[in-house]
Amino acid sequence: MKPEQSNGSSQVIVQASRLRKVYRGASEVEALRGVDLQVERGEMVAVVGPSGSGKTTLLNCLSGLDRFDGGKVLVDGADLATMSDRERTAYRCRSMGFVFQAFNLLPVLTAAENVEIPLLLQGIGGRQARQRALEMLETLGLAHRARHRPDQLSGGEQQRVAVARALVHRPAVVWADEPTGNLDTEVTQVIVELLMRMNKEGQTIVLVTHNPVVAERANRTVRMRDGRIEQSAPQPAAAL
Amino acid sequence: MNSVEAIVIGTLFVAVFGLIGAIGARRPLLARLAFREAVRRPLQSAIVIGGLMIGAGAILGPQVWNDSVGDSFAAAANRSWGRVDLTVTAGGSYFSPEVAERIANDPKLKEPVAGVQAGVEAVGSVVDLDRDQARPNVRLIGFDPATQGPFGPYILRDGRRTFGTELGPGEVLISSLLADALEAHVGDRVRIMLEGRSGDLRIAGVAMLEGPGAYGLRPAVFMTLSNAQQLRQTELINVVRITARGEGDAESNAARVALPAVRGVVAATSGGAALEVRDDKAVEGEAYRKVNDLARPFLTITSLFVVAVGAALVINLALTLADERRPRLAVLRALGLTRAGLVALSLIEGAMYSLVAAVAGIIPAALIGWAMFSYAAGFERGAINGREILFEPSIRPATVATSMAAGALITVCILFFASIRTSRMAIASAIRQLPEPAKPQKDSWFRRAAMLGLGLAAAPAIIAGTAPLRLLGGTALIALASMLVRGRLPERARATLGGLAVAFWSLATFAITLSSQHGWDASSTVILLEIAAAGTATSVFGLSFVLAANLRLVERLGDIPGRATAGMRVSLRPALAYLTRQPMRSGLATSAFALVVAMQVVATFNIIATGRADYSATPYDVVVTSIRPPDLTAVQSTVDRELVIPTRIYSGPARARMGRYEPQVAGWRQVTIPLYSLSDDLLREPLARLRSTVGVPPDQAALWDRLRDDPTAVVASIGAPGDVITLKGPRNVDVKLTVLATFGAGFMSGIAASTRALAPFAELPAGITVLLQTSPGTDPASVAAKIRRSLVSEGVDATTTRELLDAGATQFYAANSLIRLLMAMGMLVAVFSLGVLALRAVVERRRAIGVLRAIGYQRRQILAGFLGESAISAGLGIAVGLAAGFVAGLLTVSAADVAPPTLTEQVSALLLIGISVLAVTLAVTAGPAFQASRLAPMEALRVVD
Repeated sequence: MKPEQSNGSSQVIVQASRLRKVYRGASEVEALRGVDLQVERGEMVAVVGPSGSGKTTLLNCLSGLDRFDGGKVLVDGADLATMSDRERTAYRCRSMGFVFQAFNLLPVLTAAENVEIPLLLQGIGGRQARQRALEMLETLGLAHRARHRPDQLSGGEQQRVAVARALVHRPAVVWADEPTGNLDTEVTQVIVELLMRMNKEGQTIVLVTHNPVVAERANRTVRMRDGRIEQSAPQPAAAL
Repeated sequence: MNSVEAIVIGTLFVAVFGLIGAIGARRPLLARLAFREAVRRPLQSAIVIGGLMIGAGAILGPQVWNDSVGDSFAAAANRSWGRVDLTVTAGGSYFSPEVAERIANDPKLKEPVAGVQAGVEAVGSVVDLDRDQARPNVRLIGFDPATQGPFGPYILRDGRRTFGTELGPGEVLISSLLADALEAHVGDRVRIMLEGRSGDLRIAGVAMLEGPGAYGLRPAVFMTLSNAQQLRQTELINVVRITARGEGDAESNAARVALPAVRGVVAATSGGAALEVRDDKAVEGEAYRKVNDLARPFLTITSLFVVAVGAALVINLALTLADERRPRLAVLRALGLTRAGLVALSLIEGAMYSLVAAVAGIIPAALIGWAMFSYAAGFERGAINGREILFEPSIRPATVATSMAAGALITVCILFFASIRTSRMAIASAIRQLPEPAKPQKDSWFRRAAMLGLGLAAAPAIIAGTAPLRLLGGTALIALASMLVRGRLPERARATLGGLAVAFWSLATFAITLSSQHGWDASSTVILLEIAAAGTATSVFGLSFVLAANLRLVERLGDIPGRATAGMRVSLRPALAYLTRQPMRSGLATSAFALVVAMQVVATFNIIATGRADYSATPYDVVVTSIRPPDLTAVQSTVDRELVIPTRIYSGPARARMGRYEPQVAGWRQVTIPLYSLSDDLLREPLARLRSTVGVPPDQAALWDRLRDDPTAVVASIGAPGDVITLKGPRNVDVKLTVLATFGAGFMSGIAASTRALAPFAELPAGITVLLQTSPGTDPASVAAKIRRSLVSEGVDATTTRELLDAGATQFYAANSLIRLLMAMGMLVAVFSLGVLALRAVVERRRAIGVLRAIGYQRRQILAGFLGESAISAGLGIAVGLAAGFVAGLLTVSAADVAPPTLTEQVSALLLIGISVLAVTLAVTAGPAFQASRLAPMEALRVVD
């Protein structure tokens, strides 16, 4: 089934209702227990909570990385539950960007090559893809590191490359799972500033974090506990 | 393996595994961790062990083959002589039977000698008058039933045992080999023809190939001495057979003791100076053992190709496992495990794999050896000068233990060096699964020592070494030069220049050695085989190095199809990147494939070139052998030309190689071969094209002129051009003959030379060989059949030249097929290794696969990427292997002095090898690729291992 067409007039870009996820192993663990959440276009949402509260699981289910056992997820109007693996993959490719805690750059590719992958996946020509990747790296202050491989970059630089990769194809939503978890305070600040800059330019961002400093910079904080949303509150304007 | 090698390997094995065992005992935590790692993924561990088992089989298989062939040859020599330990002969001449009586009655010989027998031995033709079947070149053995006791009884097919005392005046025994050839039965009348005389006798029994019935291991007639003397019309004898007391080793020792005493007695008899006492059984057994020992190095080198492929697998696997386990190992380092501890952990795990592989591999490895031996037995039949050999597998515990120990040691040694490399990790980065930070390159004492060692070893090897040593010395010097310019040249340029230099040096040394080869003397055969193997290997490694350094170009080539389809490009991008950014792993996989593909090509080219009978080498289509000039009027109308060649049968000791690939042997061997006497008229009309490396290309006219003018020059089917063959002439004088050329294998087997050159053998039993050129449109086979039918009562045999050449070509085909079989095993290991690596890559790249799937890679793209990576890796290896094998194959074919394969044959062979290897590779890696494509993105990202 094809994803539903987006409704340009709608302000809600991600909508989850009664979302359930159960991990089945030696014993069953209900990671999400009927979560309802809406993310508006251009919003920057920080999901916080103690370990095991279901933050990452929520992010994975919302982004289509993981399947869920109950409820509904609409992203930009498309119902993830009804999509096949192939359709979800194509949808992620077109409409989503990812930033991970461990950067997850492909170690054998250069910074530019890592960044251009989403463009190539969308069928954009090699020269144009490289051009856009370089522009994105330049925007993030990494033009001079374009031909370096991950093992030749610092942690902060690697994460900035990961951000570039997440943004280069202008996705509807960027999902970031502990994007500053492996970084020191100074570099964390750089990355947060970067995300905020992109958000101000209209990019929707949903991030999972343990870091209160990072959470404070979001438009809204969603606090989770035991697989449920405990609190969803906008940040005070002063913090922004 | 010889005893010194066995002791060295055994000692090393005990020392190394003892040390690893001691480490495991002192540090049980490491042993427990190693064990857990090994059993954590049973299927993959089983695959690793399976690969190692094939490697061990590749070491053991050829050794079992060598042992089996050697032992069978030695046993055949032993059976051929039976209880006859010593012989007294006069170079084929007849002498008084009193010699036998003197030896038998000498008191000094009573103790070591059990029996003495006067005898007659000759070669004649036998016709079964009741079956209309004839057989030339049959050994006629005259024995004295009264003295047969100590030599043992003849065991007949019907179960009876006889010493010959029951044989009537007109009765004979025939060997089972002759009975089979003639389809003869007990009671049949046989006509025996010897030196122009003939006699009709009756078959009283068929002797089994046991005891005296196996004497000579050829078709034979056993008749009483009186019958033989009557047939020969003489009262003299031409051999005294002596058997020593005891059995087995005791008998050999007694024969050794008796030898000088018998010589003393013989020297004291009248005419003793012309007699020679020989311990043929011991000498012949020793000669075959030497032949076998000398052939072993080539087999070992060939099997090392497979081992090298296995080693590449182990290194690659070690690197893959180290990458996959990096975070876990880093945690151990963080907890206080030293680098040495990490190395010990890898060694203990490697020791477990190699020991299990060694023990579990004994039976399959022995089966591989047995299969190779059985295959070899098919074409080695008749290898001891046409004698019937009973081939039996010989699996020596010492060989099995040493081969398995060698395999285990090679594995552990490789793992040791690989683990040193992988133990150098940045702990913090590794724990968090971050890339390893770049490190500045340092000049280490190890590198300096290696450079010094290379320089010291290379210089003398180049100046004073044999061709293989020059090859290795030059390669070492190039490696040294490459190390010296490190940092002064870009890495890619340095690796490219180094690799090209090694490849060029290898092929140049190979070509120069071949072009300077005039004649095939004793050592040059082995050197040529060694340089063929080593040259192919080093050139392949050189080219693989060049390719590994320039894989980025391949990545750019990969962009070309990408322009047509962006999907394909993006699918192949990570695959190509993994290949190009890990040059060591890619280079190892490439060279492993290249090595076995190259040897496959070399073996195939040789099979095509040497296994193809050259029917145009002679205008004659039928070969007729007879005791006296045959009456060919029945076929005269279908024959255009006829060539009559006087032929004598030499049956006695010879010092010669039996084939060009056999190393020179110091000892004498008993042979029975025809000597073709070519008159000046016959030498003016060349009967066939000669093959020789004495003049390259051979000038036929010059060769025939030299054959006419040089009284020592011969054309021979034994040895090789340049060899000297020594036969025993009258009064036991050595007659040395130089091999000038050979006919096509199978045609005119024996020695052909001018009448002058063969004059010393003029007294030998005479026969006739007639070559016939049939009229156009006539079927030579029907002419040969007609001759056989019409002249059977005269013991005439006729065969087509085509049949003879085909039979000769079969041996080359089979010998090269065996090398190809061995290389197929190497290919199996190489393909297997790619399969294992693909399987490990799924684990190692789990996270990367997760990322790719997360950002939009479809399953089919992951599948295509994995398959593409394997195909490119194998394809590059195949390309290098085909290129190196093509050059080496043509060079080795030119050395064999045969027509090279045609262009169509070359292209077909290259395509067949390339496509089949690629297809098998894709089939093997399809499973892991499919597994990778089925990974759910979140599962792959969540779980590291």
